[in-house]
Amino acid sequence: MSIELSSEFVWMPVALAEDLAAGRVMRAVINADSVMDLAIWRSQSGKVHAWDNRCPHRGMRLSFGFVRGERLSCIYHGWQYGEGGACQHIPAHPDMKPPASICARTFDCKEDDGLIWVSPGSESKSDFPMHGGEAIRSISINASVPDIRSCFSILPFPLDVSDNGDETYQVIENSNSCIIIEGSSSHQTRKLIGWFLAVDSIKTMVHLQTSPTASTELKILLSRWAERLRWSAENLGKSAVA
Amino acid sequence: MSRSEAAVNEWYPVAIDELLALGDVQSVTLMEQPLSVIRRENGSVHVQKADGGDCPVCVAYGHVWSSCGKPDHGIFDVPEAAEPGRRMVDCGAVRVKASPLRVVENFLDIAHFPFVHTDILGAEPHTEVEPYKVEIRDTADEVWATKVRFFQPQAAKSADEGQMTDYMYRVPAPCVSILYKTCPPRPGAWDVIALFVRPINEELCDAYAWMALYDDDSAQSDLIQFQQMIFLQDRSVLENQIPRLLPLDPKMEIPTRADTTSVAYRRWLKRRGMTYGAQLVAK
Repeated sequence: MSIELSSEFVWMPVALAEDLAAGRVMRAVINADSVMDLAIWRSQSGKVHAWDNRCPHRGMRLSFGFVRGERLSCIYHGWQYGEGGACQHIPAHPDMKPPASICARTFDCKEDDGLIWVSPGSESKSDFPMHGGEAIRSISINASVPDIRSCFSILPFPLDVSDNGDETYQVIENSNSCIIIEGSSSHQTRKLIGWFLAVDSIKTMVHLQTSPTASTELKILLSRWAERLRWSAENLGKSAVA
Repeated sequence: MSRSEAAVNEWYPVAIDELLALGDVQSVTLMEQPLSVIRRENGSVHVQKADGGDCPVCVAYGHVWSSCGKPDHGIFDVPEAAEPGRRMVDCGAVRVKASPLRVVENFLDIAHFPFVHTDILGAEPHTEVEPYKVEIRDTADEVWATKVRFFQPQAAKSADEGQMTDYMYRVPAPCVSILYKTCPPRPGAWDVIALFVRPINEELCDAYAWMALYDDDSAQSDLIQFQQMIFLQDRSVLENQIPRLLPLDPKMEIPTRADTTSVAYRRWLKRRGMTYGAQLVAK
């Protein structure tokens, strides 16, 4: 099986679930078949939403807004949008019920295995591309997806806090969108899963997962590995001496 | 370039008069054209294109004005500039990565005060915009909004406490907006705050603020700093509106009654054929 993030592949990872606290909003850019600017926000009660990053009133990016309870409020004029993207309050006219035509564009959005997934298309949903992973880190890398992939598959990652040197690695999935590498040693097997979302031709978001569940110490080591991945990918082709 | 013909034949600010010293040559870009603004040793001001051709010049309201085309009219009149007792303040220029028309439209808007200029020009729960009057004055072909009222925690540098502030807005040219607001030390008079915008290209501009105030107490630096603080708050919004061009297609962005001035401004731009910095059809 080959896993590709495209219009046919309906769920795309946009952020680590733990990076978005209740009452917060963040921006995510997806560049699959076309560029999509998204506002990802979590209501006070914990529900995650993914909306087109544009207030229907004056085009302001909603990711600059603020969460009030179960609504997202635009920073420009304070218009509040709730379930389904419907405008529920216009502060300039506090006694008026906003017409149903004022509606932010929404996308299906789910949380699973520590990641927030967005479905940018409207077609019927396939299953999650899940591998029983736990999210480690989202990292922005100033390199193309092919450059990051070539570094990813040759950079050994830690299986445990103290590895003893007999680790072997096998690539079990390798596509434009996703790499899964399985590392094995005499006492441990661990998968490292990398999701690649091109922001543009020179910038990529990488979301890392692992399985089985990792200790905090191992998560820190894997996070350092992610930084080595960034360094390698951003310096690919440059002189090693420099 | 026929698309922007109406824009070419307008006056735009190209320099701050006081900052153009004898013998100075300043390079600016106006609608993608590089220009030189020159003050000769005899004090005269000239604006030249790259090929050496002369552009029209006019010095008014603290700024040097010019045009890439041939304006068939003089620069708009600001009668308050001639009133004795007013203090003229040049606030400098701020570069904004947005359409000049978006910048002017934002200047005409009061509903954003509680959210963008929180606790200064507005504060919750005082968010309501009462009905006001908007007209296009045909003789002068200007957009005017009058009887605008809004609650302000600190309306001006000279204001100590919250008050209902009266406003009038005037658009005498596509890239110029002038606002008149209650003057705290002098009830019955209006402070004048103007925004002069120079399009560098359709999605980039320099915005100059100029004020004619009744305020002999505040330090000059405080007046400028207050205005710059306000405008930099606006810039964070202006650089994050999608699209950067101002949509003139009414289906593209949804207004409410509080946006009556903006609706009139967009219609007026369309009627004049002023489409430089505008998006005519939604993409």
